[in-house]
Amino acid sequence: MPFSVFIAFKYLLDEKRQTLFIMSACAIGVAVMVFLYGLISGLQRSLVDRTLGSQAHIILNANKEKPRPLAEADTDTAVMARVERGFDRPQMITDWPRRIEAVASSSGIVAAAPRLTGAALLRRGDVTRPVGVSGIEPESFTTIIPLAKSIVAGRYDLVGDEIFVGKDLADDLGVTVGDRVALQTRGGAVNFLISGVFDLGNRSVNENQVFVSLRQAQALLDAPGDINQIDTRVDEIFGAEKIARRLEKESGIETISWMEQNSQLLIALRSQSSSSYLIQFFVMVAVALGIASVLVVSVVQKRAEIGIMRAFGTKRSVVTRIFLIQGAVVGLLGSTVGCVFGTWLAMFFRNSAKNPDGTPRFPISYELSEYVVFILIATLVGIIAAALPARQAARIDPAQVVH
Amino acid sequence: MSAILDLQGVTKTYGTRIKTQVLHGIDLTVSRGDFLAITGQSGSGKTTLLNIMGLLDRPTTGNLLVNGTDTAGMDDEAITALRGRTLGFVFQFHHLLPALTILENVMMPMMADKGRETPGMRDAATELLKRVGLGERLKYKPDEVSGGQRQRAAIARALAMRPAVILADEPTGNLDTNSSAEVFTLLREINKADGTAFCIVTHDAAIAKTCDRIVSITDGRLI
Ligand SMILES: Nc1ncnc2c1ncn2[C@@H]1O[C@H](COP(=O)(O)OP(=O)(O)OP(=O)(O)O)[C@@H](O)[C@H]1O
Ligand SMILES: [Mg+2]
Repeated sequence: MPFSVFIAFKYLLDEKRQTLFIMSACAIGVAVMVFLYGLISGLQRSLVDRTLGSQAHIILNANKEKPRPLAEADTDTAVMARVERGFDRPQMITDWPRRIEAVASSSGIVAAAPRLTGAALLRRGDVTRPVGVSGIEPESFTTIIPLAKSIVAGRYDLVGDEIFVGKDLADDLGVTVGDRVALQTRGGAVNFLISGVFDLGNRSVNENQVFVSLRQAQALLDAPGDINQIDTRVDEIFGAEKIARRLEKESGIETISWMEQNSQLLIALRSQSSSSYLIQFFVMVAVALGIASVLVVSVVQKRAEIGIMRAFGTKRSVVTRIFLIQGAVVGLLGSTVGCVFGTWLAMFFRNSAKNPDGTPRFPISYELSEYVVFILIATLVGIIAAALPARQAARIDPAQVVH
Repeated sequence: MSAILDLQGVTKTYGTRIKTQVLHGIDLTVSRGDFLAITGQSGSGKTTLLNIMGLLDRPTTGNLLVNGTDTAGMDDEAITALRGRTLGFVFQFHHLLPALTILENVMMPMMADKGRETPGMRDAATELLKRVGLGERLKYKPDEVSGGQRQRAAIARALAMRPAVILADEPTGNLDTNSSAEVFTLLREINKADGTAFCIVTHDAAIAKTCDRIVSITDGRLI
């Protein structure tokens, strides 16, 4: 064992109460960090999951083609132009099977599915509701949005004239699986049989969306063989915006990511994260000050001892190390205890906030790598906190303190 | 016989604003086997001189040669290593590290020198403690033994690196007459057996008389 480590441990063990005191400070600080981190990230994960439960990560939408000026400005030419939005002529994605294949094999994309969207009136008896109609292929669609898992009544199948309606719409109209409803467009009304009722966890979707087979939608919306939207799923959700911009360039179709659609949510998440980081930062500053002040006192108390060690051939650098090691050990052990304590707190909190069905209101879970990061941070904080006392100790002049 | 320590015209001035010159042109050599008493009134500069001889402090002007090599150009690290290997210290107060056992205290200079405990250190330290009559107290903490025993442990620690010179600043100043005499006898034995040189600051004229050489310091000058 190096001499510096030997002395550092002797000091920590000799002043048990003091050591316990600063280790507890460190443990409490780290527990707060772990708890806060778990809480915030759990909360955010559940918010994002809920948002993405009824939304594709990236949508390529032919309808939303951006109006473009006829001439583009370049370095030599300035263009004064008023860009006129064209009238809302529904646009279609041509040659879509090939395009879907291209999108699906694009990097970062794990799945892509066709969709034809349009508007219609849903009629049941003499009650009508305006709804968004989506024509989908059930197998490919559920790889983008977990619709199959969201069926609360009936089955996940769209054969012939079958239709899925949302839970809230079904309640509103008093219909259920096996009932018939009609979808009315300019071209006329078509009857559908409800084969499934879904709950995508989003009231507006549950109220306003209906799903039919792609073929039925094409007939209903007078777009035989066409789709106007490609829905995709990405492997890393927070990379969606970047991928969307790339896809747009590649495909020439207006592309929108969930991040763009939920920019308010993202701003909220981001500011929540930064305020939690700020709190964690100041907690660790307080911990560092605590460790530093105890070690400063310890250095003052040990002036003569340090002088003696110096007189008997201990180098300044070794004296520095003796105190840095103490800081590191306090940080390491304190944070390990803090991780356990913080996790326990978080689990206690999670178990006390439950949904009516008994599941936790938000998921809190930790990865081993997150603990490693916390422990590394705390150890570093311990070392930084010890830097000043260590410097002070190394400066001690044996001739001044030993008599 | 070549000098281990050779002070040539050493002066020491303390302070930057108010300057106090404490030592005025000290010439002194310490050779192997010397047993030297340094006496003088309080405030005459004995401790200051011993600190300079012990490489704990640097002279303001003048030179200190250790085994013939001038120390003026050495950096702190070189001085520290040289001090650790050449010199041993006994102070009025024992200054044993309270967190360490008596044995570990004696091993401390060895570990500081090598950077870690190496085989043989423990045995060597045990030998030294047996020699000063503390063979039965190895695992005790300093505050678990008597004042005389503590000072003997401090002497064992001073011997740890087999130094050529041991500098002792009033080593018996805190001890009663009996312990005091014991400690002095011990120093004398070591001197005779190993040829270790001793420079002992003392107020006790009787003790000083038993030394081979006495230098007296008055107002920073040797007489
Ligand atoms: N660090 C210092 N700064 C300024 N003056 C000092 C310092 N150390 C010692 N002195 C002064 O130097 C003079 C000599 O001090 P020194 O400690 O060498 O005396 P001493 O002979 O050892 O005395 P004593 O017998 O009381 O221990 C004293 O006047 C003291 O005030
Ligand atoms: Mg003195």
